[in-house]
Amino acid sequence: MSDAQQELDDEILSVCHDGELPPTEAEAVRRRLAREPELAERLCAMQYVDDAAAGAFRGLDRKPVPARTLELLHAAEAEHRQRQLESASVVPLRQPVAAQRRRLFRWPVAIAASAALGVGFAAGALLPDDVRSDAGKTAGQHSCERGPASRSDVP
Amino acid sequence: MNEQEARQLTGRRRELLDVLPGLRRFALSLTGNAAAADDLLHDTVQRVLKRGLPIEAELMPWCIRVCRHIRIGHAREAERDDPGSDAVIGRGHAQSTVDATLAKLPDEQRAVLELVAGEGHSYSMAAAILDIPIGRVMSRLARARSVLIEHCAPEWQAPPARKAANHE
Repeated sequence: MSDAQQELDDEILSVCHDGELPPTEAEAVRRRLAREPELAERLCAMQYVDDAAAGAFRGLDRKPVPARTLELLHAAEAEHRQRQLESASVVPLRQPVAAQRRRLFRWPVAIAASAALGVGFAAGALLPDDVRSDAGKTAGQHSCERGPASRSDVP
Repeated sequence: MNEQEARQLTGRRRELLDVLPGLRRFALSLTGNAAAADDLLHDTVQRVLKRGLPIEAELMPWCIRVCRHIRIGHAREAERDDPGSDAVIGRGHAQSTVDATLAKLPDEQRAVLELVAGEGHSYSMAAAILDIPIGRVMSRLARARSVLIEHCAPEWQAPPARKAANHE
């Protein structure tokens, strides 16, 4: 078997071992494994070295995590709590809820005022002519009556 | 850290405490040496706490990425200080044949082996964490396993004569 072939086999076996081969290819490898005992042995060897490597990495778990690293976490926790305390003790200058309520009140009042003004103009425009002229005359009389009097007041 | 001390931690700090063992193993996979792994772990935790992490990010993959970047930075610095030195890897404390062989593997092969064989991550997850294509995960893993078989399980190495005979 050439090195290239061995490498290819190892890669296929490795992927098959991890269960990442597509079903059709996995089936083909299974058939080859049944036919070729060397390949099956190689797969067993992969499982063996995987376990050995995982064991070597997990060997570190027996030693406790260094205290200086844990201290980092505790220092960060203390800092976080301090920040929370500080933010809780700050009194906001404006009450946000009240301000929001005021903002909400502003719009309806403005709309109501505009509507009232509109209704007033519309009513004025729709009034019958005689009523409007009577109203005009009355207003004119009032102004004439008041006009000279007010002028005479002027020195 | 005992349980009572652990309970004092909240939020991300508590989550970080939970991922420390896995992160430490990954650091070992990068350094090949326990003392260097602990230094790398410390630097990683420090940086994650200082800079925080994006809201949508998962903690463990993010920490692993940070760990890897720090390791690359360390390796570059060491290479600049002492070009050609292999001491940057911090090897030489091998306890057994497996440890010795693992220490001789290139960092990137060891990291893939740890993520897939050690932590049980899928290829796609390992590829995402290491920011490499899935094909590269496959090839690195196969190469790492081949080297380990060669050195740690020679009884599984089929003799060349037998191999040749089988293929004739």
